[in-house]
Amino acid sequence: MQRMGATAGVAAQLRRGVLEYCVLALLLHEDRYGFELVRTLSGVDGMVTSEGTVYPLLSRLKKDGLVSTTWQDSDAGPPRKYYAITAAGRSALEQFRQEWRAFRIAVDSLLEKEKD
Amino acid sequence: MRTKHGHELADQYMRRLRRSASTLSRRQRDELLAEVGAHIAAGLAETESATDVQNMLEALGEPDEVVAAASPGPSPAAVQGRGTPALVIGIVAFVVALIPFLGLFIATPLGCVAVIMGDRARRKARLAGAFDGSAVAGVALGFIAIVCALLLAMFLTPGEIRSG
Repeated sequence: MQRMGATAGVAAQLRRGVLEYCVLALLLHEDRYGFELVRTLSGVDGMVTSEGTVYPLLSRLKKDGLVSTTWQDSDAGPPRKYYAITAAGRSALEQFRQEWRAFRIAVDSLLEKEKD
Repeated sequence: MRTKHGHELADQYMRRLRRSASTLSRRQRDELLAEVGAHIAAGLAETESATDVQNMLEALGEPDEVVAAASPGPSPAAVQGRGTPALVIGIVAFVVALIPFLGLFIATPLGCVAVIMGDRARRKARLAGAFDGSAVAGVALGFIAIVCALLLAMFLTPGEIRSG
């Protein structure tokens, strides 16, 4: 009965914590539909390993009220579900931005010290 | 050839995803299947070459992995021991399987129950990142019970007919 999956890489663990804020950041200036969002994320090196896992994340963001969805007709194919950031999403992102800045500086300072 | 999701490989993927998603709530499962279905449809609108479709599905990731991301995430400890009922039924099925005649009619259905219950528990544990040994043992014993009951019935029946 050993614990499996404990070997998940460092990168995967780091990603797990920040991915939802990366999604919010992508939605800050424009609404996007799922496929477009996923493609943009996986275009950034190392951000997403399994694209399918972004969809559960999106529905969690929606449940938490950080994004909203609307259906819009597309020129080709069926209507698309567009994701938009909400006011709560904006403030969550802003808060993360500050946390991230402080965190990055803290970690960098420790790592740099290590080098000396 | 017209298929449900526009491509044979896509249909296969969606079937596997649906099976993996059986552990989710109905609302979550429907939502996930709709989203991934739309993703695949959008991808197929760009290309339908088998290699591209294959690459797109690989990029989506293993269905189990996608479903794990949707799971509310029970702790590995919470799913431990879920396989115990399957193990108990598996043991009973195995013992009963050794009894002639009774074995075939009782051990076979019991074995099936052990296999199904054990497999469900094993899946649940795996989604939570754990390994449930008793669930796997339940599945194995269920199988062995079915095989034993069938073999015993095959060897015994002709003898009985001859003597009867």
